[in-house]
Amino acid sequence: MRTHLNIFPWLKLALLALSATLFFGFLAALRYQTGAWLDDYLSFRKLRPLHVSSAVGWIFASAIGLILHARKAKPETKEWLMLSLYTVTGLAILLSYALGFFGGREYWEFNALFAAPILLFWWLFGKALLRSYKFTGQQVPVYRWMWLTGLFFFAFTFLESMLWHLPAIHGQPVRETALQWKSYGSLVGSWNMLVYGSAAWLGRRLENQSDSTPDRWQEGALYLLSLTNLMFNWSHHIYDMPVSKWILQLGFYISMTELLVLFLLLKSFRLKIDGRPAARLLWFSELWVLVNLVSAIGLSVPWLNRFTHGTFVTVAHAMGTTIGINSMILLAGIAYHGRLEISNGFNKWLNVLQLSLLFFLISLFVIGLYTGLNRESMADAVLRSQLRPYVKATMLLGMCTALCFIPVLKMLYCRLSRPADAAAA
Amino acid sequence: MTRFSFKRWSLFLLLPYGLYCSLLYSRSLDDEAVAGELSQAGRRGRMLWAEYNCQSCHQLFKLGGYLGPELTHTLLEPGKSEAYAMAFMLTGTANMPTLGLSKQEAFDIARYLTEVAQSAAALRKQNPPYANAP
Repeated sequence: MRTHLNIFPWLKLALLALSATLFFGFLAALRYQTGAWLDDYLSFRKLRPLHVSSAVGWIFASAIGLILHARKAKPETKEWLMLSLYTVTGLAILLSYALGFFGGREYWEFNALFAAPILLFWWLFGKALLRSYKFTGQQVPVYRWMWLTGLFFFAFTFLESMLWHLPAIHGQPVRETALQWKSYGSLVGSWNMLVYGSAAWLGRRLENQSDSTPDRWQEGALYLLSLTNLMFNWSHHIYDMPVSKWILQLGFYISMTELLVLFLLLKSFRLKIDGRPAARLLWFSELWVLVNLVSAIGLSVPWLNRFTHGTFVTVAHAMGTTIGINSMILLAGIAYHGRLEISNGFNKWLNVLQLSLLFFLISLFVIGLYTGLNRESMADAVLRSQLRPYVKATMLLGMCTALCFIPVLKMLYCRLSRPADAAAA
Repeated sequence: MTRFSFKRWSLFLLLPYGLYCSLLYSRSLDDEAVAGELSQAGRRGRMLWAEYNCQSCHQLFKLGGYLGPELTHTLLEPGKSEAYAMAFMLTGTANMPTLGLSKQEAFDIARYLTEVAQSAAALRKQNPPYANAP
């Protein structure tokens, strides 16, 4: 009962947020396919933030649900307050977009006033998380360390991403953009810490290890490398901007430490897939980590960055990370808590989803690279008209990926709606 | 080396990170004077750019959406002007909806785009694109 009352609402809310993400993404792709008729109801400038904010809502709701479920402390009624605050704020933000009220930047297109309930929520979540830990000086499992890192850095980078409202910052466009890229680079790193922490927690559970099992040295090394990259590896976004040289140099050298991450992950990668749904999802996420790490290292090389940054290659990387890595890990956590049993139907749709995502990303990568190679020599309008059929095909693949999610989500949602069955299983 | 050392090292990283952030806030540009500051109209345009969510379709310094063209340098290109940009904003095109902007608002956004282009161009004269990249 405790599990049902206190945790499943977060996970169900998360699945609803993911459904909203897919719905708005589908509509945005449809808008591109069929012209501007949709603009009378929901224009693209509304659909994009609706899609992106729902995706952010999905990642946070599921990560928070998994973290709260993993902790040992007794559940409190304050969690309901947190859940209500999260839901009401999220819905108010989506409504403000639908009505055309904006005032922010990428990820946070909402009016700055919404920052207040978001920070209040984060404060409550931080308090709940910290209270459940006993700091005895004994070894703390690496996943807790990751969650605490995500907790701190989200608060910090969220505030940093709001700095542009200060006249001293937005009065100088180059500085403003550099700071914005910095905050976003680390912001994504902060929620990755929450998600990867859950992956580490889940990995232990799937291998039947307890919290007292010491971390493997590779886990500690990966954490330290991830943290270093969270802090300093963002400047590949501004290689072509006229900012101070030291920022770009430092970012480049730090980004090359990702080669070490790649080496460590390749070393521990297992080709054999575990049949359990959670393990299967986690295995796919590991595969996508390898793919996205290679593309991240590629984007950090200036010569390649010149042809890829600001094109659909960047979108491919973002989609690969959000869908391939984060969503697979979070769905794995939901499958584990829902005690989803092995089924051919689930496995089949999961495989189709991975294939569909792969084709979608390849397509994004190809049109992005074509744009990057030709954008300096061709007029923008000509390039766009040449690419139009290919972009349309890519959008179709994106729509297919969204549709492939539906059976997977349906199975997970039904499982969460039957807590008694889940407990019995 | 014990396993815990990795986590302890992460705490040590906070100090250089704090230094890094403060340096970045204050010295992200080599030449402040060349970069210039936005005018009052440019600042109003900056806020309108956010209020109308222009970034969902357009990029500035490659930050933003992909449906419309990148606009960082557009208003300094031959044949382009603030009047040209205002015409787009006030009448719309097949791909760009009219946003219900007033003339003053359209002017402020066009001013902002011009000043973005001027700031980028002035700094780029000293540091061409990718000149500072490793």
